[in-house]
Amino acid sequence: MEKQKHGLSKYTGAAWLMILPFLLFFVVTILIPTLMSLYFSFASIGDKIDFIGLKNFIAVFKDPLFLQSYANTFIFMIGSIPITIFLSLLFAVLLNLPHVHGQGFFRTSYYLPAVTSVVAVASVFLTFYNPTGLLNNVVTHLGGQPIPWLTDPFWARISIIIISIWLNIGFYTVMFLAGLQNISSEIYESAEIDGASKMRQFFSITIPSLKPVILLGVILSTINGLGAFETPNILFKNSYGPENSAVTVGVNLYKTSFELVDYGKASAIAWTMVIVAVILSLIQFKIGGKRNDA
Amino acid sequence: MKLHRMFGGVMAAVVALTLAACGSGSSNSSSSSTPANPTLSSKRVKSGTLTAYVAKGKNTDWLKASLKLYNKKYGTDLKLNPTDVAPAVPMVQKITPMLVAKQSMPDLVFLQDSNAGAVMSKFSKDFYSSQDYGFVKKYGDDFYTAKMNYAKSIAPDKKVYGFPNDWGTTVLFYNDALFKKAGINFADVKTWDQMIDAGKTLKEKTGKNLMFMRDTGDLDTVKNIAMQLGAPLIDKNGAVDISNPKVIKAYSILKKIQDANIVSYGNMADYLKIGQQTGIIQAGGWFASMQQESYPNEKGDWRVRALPLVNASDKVIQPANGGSSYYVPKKSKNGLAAMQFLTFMLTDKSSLDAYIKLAGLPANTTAYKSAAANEGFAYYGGQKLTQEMNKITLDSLTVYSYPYVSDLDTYLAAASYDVKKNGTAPKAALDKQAQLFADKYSIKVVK
Repeated sequence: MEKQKHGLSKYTGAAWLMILPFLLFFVVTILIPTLMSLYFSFASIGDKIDFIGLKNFIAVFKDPLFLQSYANTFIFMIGSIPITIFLSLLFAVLLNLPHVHGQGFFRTSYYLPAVTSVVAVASVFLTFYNPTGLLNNVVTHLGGQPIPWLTDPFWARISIIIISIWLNIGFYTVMFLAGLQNISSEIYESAEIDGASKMRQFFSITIPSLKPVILLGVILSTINGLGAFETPNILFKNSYGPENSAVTVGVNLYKTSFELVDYGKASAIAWTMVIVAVILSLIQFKIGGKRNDA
Repeated sequence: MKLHRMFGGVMAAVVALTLAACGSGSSNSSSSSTPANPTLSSKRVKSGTLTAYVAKGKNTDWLKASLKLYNKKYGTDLKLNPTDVAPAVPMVQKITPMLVAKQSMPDLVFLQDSNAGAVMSKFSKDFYSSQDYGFVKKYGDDFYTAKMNYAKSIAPDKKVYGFPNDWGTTVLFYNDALFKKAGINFADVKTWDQMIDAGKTLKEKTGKNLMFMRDTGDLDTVKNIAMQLGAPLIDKNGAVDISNPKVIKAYSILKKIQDANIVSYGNMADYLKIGQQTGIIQAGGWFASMQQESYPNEKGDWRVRALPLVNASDKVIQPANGGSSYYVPKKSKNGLAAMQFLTFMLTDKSSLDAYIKLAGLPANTTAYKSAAANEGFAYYGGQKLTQEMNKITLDSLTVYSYPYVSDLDTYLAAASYDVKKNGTAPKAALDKQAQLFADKYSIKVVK
């Protein structure tokens, strides 16, 4: 018994030693900054740091712009995530068809936006959204009226949603494609023998098998969407857009940190993001889990 | 067991070291070679390297040129190690995490005045005060009154911390050649109403618009006119004051301009490109060097003057456009040397001349008495640009610095959008934005 206990201790110790480099990195670069940020959210940060309880959170919730920033962020997420996931899934399925030639080329092409700088992408789209830019040229050639892409609250949001979809679709396509390629072909062969149509196979085999990957995609894009910052910041030159339509939680957080130098309040905003992300993820897990059980 | 202990020990050491690093030196706030209370009479530092966070271009070039003159004059051996950081938000982004973590700092920090309020509201005690050093008492009167008034309002204790570098008002760049083509002598335009009429003629004769405006809601024109009427927008006590009759009057002029159909609308990103195709550009003096670089082919076409008045009989007040100052952190290595050098750079005649030659506009008014300040600029048809800018800046409105000043623009732009797109009455739109701004910062609205 003692020998076994001693052996286990030795084994555990070696394991700890092996993960020590990662743990050190984790503690220094993630854990301590996270805990400090949590403390900052209850403090006034300046030449000295004073604990002020919930004052930062109260100030944040009293600010109408804070609520507006969440409303905008949710609008962007609702407008972009379902379309991104749907189109990514569609492209992944198409790329996974057995007779598609040049899969590697398409995979790389679709993935390119994911590795392109958001700043560069937003800057290019900025020229497209110009009153006399590419998009309005197309619209007017088709007989339509020029669209006030960046000057109308509705279209300002659409402009951001379009860029978000364009930027993310490649990443999720590759992710779903990897998921699709992990589904055993034998399942499909059995379904064929049983007479299941392609559509039936898609909904009864592909989607259920891909469910964990889709769930991961939804969670990742939700977290990503919550932190939206670069695109609205570049499109609207560090302003809030027409009728504050482009202020996201990320933009508000940035301005609170680096324009107002209120790190306490900024940390409080950041922690509301953490709480919202956790709640949304739990809801998604719950929904995903229930459907799985069924 | 030993492994467990070792692991625990290492982790504890990491946590302790990280926290220590974050708070290192917090007990000793002054730099090693600097006395606790440095003053103008402190013994001159003979050697060292001054590290500086400063934007590349004319400001870094001035530091270099001035340091050469300084070393020659005092027989010192100071060197400069500049890091390129833009003076507005990027500088705040760079220095404030260092200030929070109590890290060692550069000797010189070049910060835009509009961003200084936010930094100093939290960290003023981490910087040397130019007032305590004796700079303000000895040289303060040489600087623009508006600059020094602004400098006094930056820190919560109303003490001056910055070493005043430059200051300017909004001026009018106008395409003289274009107006002449339309038969207009723009120098004769005295009021905004006359300028609107000139704009209509310009459009009729040349097809060009009078000016650029942001398509998401004007900000510049309304702010400039309101300030010309004496409205600082944030009052002396920090209350928001944007829905007063002066600002509403500014909106009535804005409406006249917009109704005259003489505006080119666009995104702020295209401000320079679109503005250059119109008759006038409202900008600070800094715009001159950018315009010369970007549009060399228009040499001789443009001129600079003050904005027209609202009424010909109005007292002349020019809208403040801001400036920059140097700050010396207490946790710098060569704080005293930095302050001694800054005192020279910002007050010595030969040093100020060097700045003017680099197209700088020093806040020190004595600089404009020199021959360098009276040179003509070929790009502006031989106009004595530096002297013209100085003449305009002497009438600068006194504005006040509070941490939230820079955010007010967003709210004014929102009011302009509301007025233009939704037809809301200016008073209602301004009242709404003033209240939202006041709610955000827990400040009062001037009724």
